[in-house]
This record gives sequence, C-alpha cells and structure tokens, in this order.
Amino acid sequence: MRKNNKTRSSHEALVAGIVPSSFVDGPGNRLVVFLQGCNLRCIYCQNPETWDPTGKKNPLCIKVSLEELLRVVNKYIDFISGITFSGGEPLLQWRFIREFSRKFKSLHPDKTIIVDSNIDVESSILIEVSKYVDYFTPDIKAPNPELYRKVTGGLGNFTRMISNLKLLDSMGKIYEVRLPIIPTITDSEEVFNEWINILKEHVNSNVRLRIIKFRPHGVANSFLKNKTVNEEVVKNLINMLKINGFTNIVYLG
Amino acid sequence: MKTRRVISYEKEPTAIQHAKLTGSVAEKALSIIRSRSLTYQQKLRALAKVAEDSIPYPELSDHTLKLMKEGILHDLDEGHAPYRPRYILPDYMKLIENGSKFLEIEPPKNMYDAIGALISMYANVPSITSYPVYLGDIDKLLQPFVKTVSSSELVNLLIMFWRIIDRMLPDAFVHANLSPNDNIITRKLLDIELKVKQVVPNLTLKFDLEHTPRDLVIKAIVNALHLSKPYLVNDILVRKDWPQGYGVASCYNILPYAGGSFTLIRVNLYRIATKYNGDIDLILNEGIPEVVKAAAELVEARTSFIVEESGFFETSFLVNEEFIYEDNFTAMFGIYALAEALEYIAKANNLKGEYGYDEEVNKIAINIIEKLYNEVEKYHIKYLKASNGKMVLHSQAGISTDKETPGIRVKYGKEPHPYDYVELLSIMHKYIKAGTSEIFTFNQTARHNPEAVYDIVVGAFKKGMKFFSITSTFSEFIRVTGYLIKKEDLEKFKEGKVARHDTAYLGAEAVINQRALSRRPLGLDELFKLGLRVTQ
Repeated sequence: MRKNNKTRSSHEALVAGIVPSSFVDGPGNRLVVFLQGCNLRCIYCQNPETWDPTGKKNPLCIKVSLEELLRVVNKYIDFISGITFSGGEPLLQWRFIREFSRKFKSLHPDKTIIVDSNIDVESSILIEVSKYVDYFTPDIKAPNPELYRKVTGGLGNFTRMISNLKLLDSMGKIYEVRLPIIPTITDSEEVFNEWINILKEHVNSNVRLRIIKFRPHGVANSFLKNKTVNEEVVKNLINMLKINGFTNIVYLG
Repeated sequence: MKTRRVISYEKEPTAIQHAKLTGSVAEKALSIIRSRSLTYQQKLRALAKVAEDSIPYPELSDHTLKLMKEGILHDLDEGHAPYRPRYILPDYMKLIENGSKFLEIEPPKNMYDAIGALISMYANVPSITSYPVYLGDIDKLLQPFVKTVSSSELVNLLIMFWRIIDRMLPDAFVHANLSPNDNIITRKLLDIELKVKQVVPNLTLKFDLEHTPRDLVIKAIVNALHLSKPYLVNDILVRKDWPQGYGVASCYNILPYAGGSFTLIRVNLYRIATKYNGDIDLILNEGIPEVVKAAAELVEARTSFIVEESGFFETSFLVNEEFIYEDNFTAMFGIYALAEALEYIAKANNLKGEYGYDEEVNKIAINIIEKLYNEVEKYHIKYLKASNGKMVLHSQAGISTDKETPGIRVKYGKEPHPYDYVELLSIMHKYIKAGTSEIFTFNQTARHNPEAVYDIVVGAFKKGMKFFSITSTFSEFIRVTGYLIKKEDLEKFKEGKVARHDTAYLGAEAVINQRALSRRPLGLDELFKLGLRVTQ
C-alpha cells in the first residue's frame, strides 16, 4: 500500500459524497456513502477525484463523524433497505465502516449494509468488517494478473483479490459480482472465457452477476476517450455466461 | 375514389364534447349520429346526454353562475338533470351472500355461479358514464369459491372473467379493487394482468403496512412498472377516513362503500389566482371562500335533484335490495391546476422558487389546501350523510381538454426527488379524503430492483401519503389524466379509426420523467441543511 494510505479513525470518515437514493447499489433503495481515497488507479475509473486519500483535491470532500452520518441516515431511514459504502475504496476506512455498521445494525437490525469494495485488501480486514457488514459487491476488473495490473494502474494484487473472492463466497457475503467490459481491454472472447473460468473456480454458479458496460463519461485516462463497447459484445458475454451455467445476470444497459 | 378525411384526435369531438356542440337538439343529435369515429354504444350515450341537456339546468344564484362563467367552478359536464349518482360503489358481498331478487340471481354456490352473478350485476350498475365504476374487492368476492374448481379451471375462469369485463365494459374508468389480504385470487389476477394486457379494468391494491405481505406488494409493483397499475392505497390511513368501509372507483376516487358520490364538481385554482392577481391574502380570504360557497350551492342543487326529483333512490333495485344506502353517499369537491396557480402567484410576488422545490412556495400551496379544507367544512349539505353533510376534497385528475396540471400535482417532468415529493404530498394528503393521484415515474433501474420501489412506497405511507401511483419509462400503457390507454389504441385514434374503448378518445399525455430518480448526490446546500459542512 502507498504510504499515505493510512486508515482513518473509527469515529470520523472522509466522505466524497452522499447519494440519498440509489436503485443500483444493492438490494432495494439505498443510501450510498462514497468514501474518499483509493488504493488502485483503474484506467476506466469515472471518479478519479476520489483517489487522493487526503481529499485535498476534491472540493466536495467532507469530514463526517459517526453520529453525524447516523443523523443523516435517520432522515431517510423509512425509505431505504440499507446503506452502501462505495468510493474510492471504502475499506481504506474500514475502522469507520466497522464502527458505523456495528452501531447502525444495533439500531436497525432489519436494514442491510453493503460494501462496494475492490476487495484488493488484506483478508483480515474483510473478516473483521464482515461481523457487521451484510454483503460485498466486488468486481473482477480483469481475469489474469497481467491484465489486472494493467487495468489497475500497476497497483493491483491479483492473487490477493481472487483469494478474497473465494473467501467472501464461502462466507456467503457476496451480493453480486461485477464484470466491467472495457473497450480493447476486457471486451474479447478470450477475456470472457478467462472470466468464466475464474468464476467457476471461485464462486457459486447461482451468484448474481452484473455486467457493467464502460461509459466514456468522466474518465481520466485519455486512452479510452471516444471508445465504446458494442451491444453485441455484451450480448455475447451474457450468452457465454448462460451456456456455462451462470443464469442470474443483470445488465442495465 | 373519395378518401375519408383523417381527423386528428384533438379535434374530433368526443362523446362528451358532442353535447357541447352548439345548435339545436336536432343538430347536435345528427352530428353524433353522423360521427365516423364513435361506436353504436358511444353514440347512444352521447344522444342520451343531448336529450338530458335539453332540460333547463337546476336553478342557481347569480353568484354561482358567475363563478361558473369565469371558468373557476365546473360541473364537469355531468348533465343538466342528473338521474343517478355519479359514482356508485355497491356492496357486492351482499350479492355473493344473498343473490338478487331483481336480477333473479340465486346465492352463488361455486366459482361459475359467482363470476356469472358479478358480471350480471356489473351490467346493471349505473354511473356518470353508464358503466360501473367500481367492481368490488374481487379477491374477497371470489375467495369463498376457490375450492369449487381445480387450479387450472380457476385460472381459465379468471381469464374469462377479466376478458368479459374488458369486452363488455370497455371503459378505463371501470375500477376493480384487491383487498389487503394475501390470497390466491389476487396473485392469479396479477399474473393474468401481465398476460392479457388490458387497460380495463383499472386496478387498485389496498396495502395494509402491517398485514399485506411484502412479496405480494412487490409483485403488484412489478405489474405497475409494466402496466401502470395497480395503484396502491394506504389502507390503514384510508380506513380511518372512511370507517364505514371504502372502495376506489373510476380515476382515483376513494369513496364510501355501499354508497358513493352523488356528484363531482371542481375548482380551477389557477383561475382563482389570476382573478386576484396573485394576491395571496385575497386568494385565501376572498377567492376560496366565494368559490366554496358557490360549490356548496351547486352540489346541493344537483344532489337534491337526484334524491328528490329523479326517483333513483325510490326505484333502483340497488337501493331496494340494500346494495347501496342513501346514507352512504357524499359529494366530491375537486381541485386542479394548483401547479399553475403557484407559478402565477410566485411570479406576481417576485418569488424565485418553484412549487415542489421551494419551501416558501410549498408553504403557500399547503395554506391553499388547508384553507379549502376549512372552508368546505363550513357548509352542511342535506344529503351528504356519509360525510356528516360535508363535501370531501378530491385532487381531480383532469379531463381531456385540460391544459392545466391535474389536482395538486407538480407539473409533468418537473417532479422533485421522490423523497421531497413525498414530504410535500404527505402534508396535503391529510386534507384530501376522496382520492388523489400524483404519479411517480421510475426508470429502467427499477425493472431489476422493484424492491427499491417498495421501499419508497413504504416510506411514503409511513410519512402519511394515502395513495401512490406508479408508472415507468418502459410501461406499455400510457396514463392519461386518471386512467390508462394502450399506446397502440392512441395511434389508432390518431389515424381516425374506431377504437373499442371509450376512454381512448380522451386525448393523451405521456408522463416521462427520467429525472425523478436519478442517482444524484446531495449538493453542498443540502449537506449544509443536514448539518454537514465542507471542512477542507
């Protein structure tokens, strides 16, 4: 990990944004908290302003105490199934997530907490927050170490990510696995076949899979500018997944 | 060969509008008879209306006539000499238990008998449109006979029942209800709805937050996303409004069971605002009191005519066999164009904010509704026994010729975030007992996550909203004012072809609001309001 990737306190978080209603960040209507700071530098990232763990370059970044966040959540509590922590990489602030979730679950045992993590973190962190977090929504950014390094800006640890995937699956903590189709990088049949093999090896076949088609909007990397993914390519991946026994597929277009 | 002129649907006089044509009775009648876009049944009803309207209007004071002439007060073209209540909600359970002497129906013994009895009765329940506007809690009516047929027979019979309702009663104001209780009839009907894709009957599910199972409501929500129905009613709150029981009839009218509404008049709030140049004090203290006074007179005149002159309550088998009681009738005070009224008021008072968004403008809206409620409560009208002699407020969904926004809705496409809309509406719904119909439009993301819509409905009902109407950007039906039409029927009518459904003629408005549920982060001002601030 980078030096300045220090984990913050358990009672205060650096928040890059709050979305009070989302239909695409887990089951039901959810309030999403975007935490500032990321350990990867994905070339297709649409929120590069959330990378810097100090948040100094993000004018919308705010410090929020655990009590303040609970108060905000309370305003919307009747409308939501739960809360999703996204980012950035939310688990860089895992102590806060653990403490918040512990408190939140004691107040609202019927609501869920989801962490939208790249799961490229120490497995001990996943085990620790799993005590209070209901589900994770990891993505498999690429199906082999070489490509994974390329996609994550040279910072990703493929072996760690993939063993965490298996760990979460064995704990029953996966809500959905996301497969991002990125033009010229993860849009070939070859990659699709590798993805399928990884999935077969590491997760249950009834896992909910969400296909995410790359959108050029807001992308930092100039390499991907004006590049798009053909709808036929998506259809092909969905077909290939189905043939291989993965039928729980969501694609929002 | 001579080509028939294709008449645009906006210009073709509808069955109702025919009666507004000028000229002698004979000229009006001939124009209806010659119409190339009305069916035989539609012509028949339009002709009856022409005959009724050849009778002088009930006598009214100059004050009331003036407000009607100014376009502030409307009688919704109900006819000059009403000879049946506008909306009738019979106690169909009595038919199931006792049968009907007048219709020579024995108490049903099995599912065949029950469906046959209901269909026979529906054909004999009048209303303003002559079609029955209320079909009862279908599941409650049929549940006792589920065991008399096999499960495949049950489905076939329900499909037949639904098809007959649509083919015999082709009017989208025909409204069926489903009780809050989980049962096989409700579940099968929801499946059938998706299969047969009919706009008729309109449909409501009564949702009891404490008892209706979550998965049943989500099933109904999936239907609503695809068909814009059923519509959800907050059963716990509405039961308190109508302790004698209630049903949902026609377009979002919530009315007493075994009774109904004699009449519906409505008030154009925009016209009141312009009449008083947007002066808030004058609107509240003169405009509203004077129109409520006039409305009370109009309602009294019309209801007295029905009860005292028409003989309906002396002769109808519905009354004689106690399917309805005169004491269970009320009358509705409809309001519309609140959005335009506020736009005008805001401009006149140099307010920058918009209705739905700005607290100050929203407060004016709430004051208007509160004032209307308080004024309406001042008048005691003899025959409105179901509501202690009071008219009941109704957020009126509009008619085809309206340019204004229905009821208390925020303008199409300008609806605020659902949370904010719910907050505003839940305050106003307190005053509106006889139904309202703000539409919440969801986009593709709801298709894969109907549970999210469920969460929003639950939140809305917990906050105090009484009614929730769902549609989506991918729905196969278009919601027109208060009812549904198929997209394809509208196209047919535009091409000048005869459409089977009466309501296909009444124009259309596509309500597409992508913005309503965008995944939008809170802005700095919103964070500040929540007690958070940028600390960088």
